[in-house]
Amino acid sequence: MNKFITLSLLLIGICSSAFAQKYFTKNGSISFDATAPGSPENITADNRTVQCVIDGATGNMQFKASMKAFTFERALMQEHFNENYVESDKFPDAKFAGSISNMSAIAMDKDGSYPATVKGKLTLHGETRDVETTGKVTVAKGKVTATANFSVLLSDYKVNVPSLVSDKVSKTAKINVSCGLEPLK
Amino acid sequence: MFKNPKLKYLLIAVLIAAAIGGYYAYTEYNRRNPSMEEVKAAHKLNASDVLAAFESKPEESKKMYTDQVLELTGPIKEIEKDETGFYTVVLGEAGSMSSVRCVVDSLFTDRAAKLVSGTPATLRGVCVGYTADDMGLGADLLLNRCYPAQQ
Repeated sequence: MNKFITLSLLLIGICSSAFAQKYFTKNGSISFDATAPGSPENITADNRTVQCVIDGATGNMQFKASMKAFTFERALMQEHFNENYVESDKFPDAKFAGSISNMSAIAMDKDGSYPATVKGKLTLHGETRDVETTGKVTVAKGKVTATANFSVLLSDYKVNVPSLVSDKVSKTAKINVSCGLEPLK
Repeated sequence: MFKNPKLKYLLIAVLIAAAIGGYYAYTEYNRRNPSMEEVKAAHKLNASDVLAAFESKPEESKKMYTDQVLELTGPIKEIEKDETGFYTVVLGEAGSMSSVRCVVDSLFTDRAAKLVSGTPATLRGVCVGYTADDMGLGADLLLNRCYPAQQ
């Protein structure tokens, strides 16, 4: 009987530690597209230095992206982005803090593709707004990948688009997030 | 055609100024970020020294190094390859949570693939920021568009 109780407690311990596992990355990717409809000029950039942490038990998640790490095809566009649009010296990071609200439906230790609902607060250009989107958590051979696509209204974050380029820069930016996550040891 | 020769010279001057202005605008608009293979570093440092500087004097170091081309040397802690084939070379001491994360320019993927963890390397790239350890993941100095200068 004592052996059974000990074994049960051990199993519960192993299972709870597996579910309490945190997952992280420091080389997550965020790209955005703010090309105005019909514009021949692509306003796109990507950032491959995104930090992300997800708590496998609670679904709490955070990510942080350095604004200066967004790389554009054209240097002038990148300079305008940092100096005039998002003021990277003043607001160096974009941050998200929130949670996956259906975490109980996602088995981080079992292969599969799980839809995820993410809610939280996105801080960009010093402005914080509520964000809700759907994403996907894919588990394959122990590798966890989280992806999400959503749009933000630039005016919500006080990113002003000069009227001179309003035919090229969209009022909304489509954002793609992709993070290959590893267990946090 | 021009009764007043001054008007002729003025028109020529205006046309030349417009051509120069147009050429400048065109080249500036199409300017690409320079390859780190060709750019001279503003600072050549040990990775551990620059990390120590950011930890002890963050504001001063931020002003000194951000947006600058740095050439950093240190032991390779880890080489990461993401699902799209992009490499990040992590420089730093094995026991330390802090590191320099160098995102390798896709032009130099072949050079990055030849790097070996645990050996020293020198990478040149643009310093785009320092992330303090506010997520429990360690502090990192970020370099973009890196060129593996020595391996």
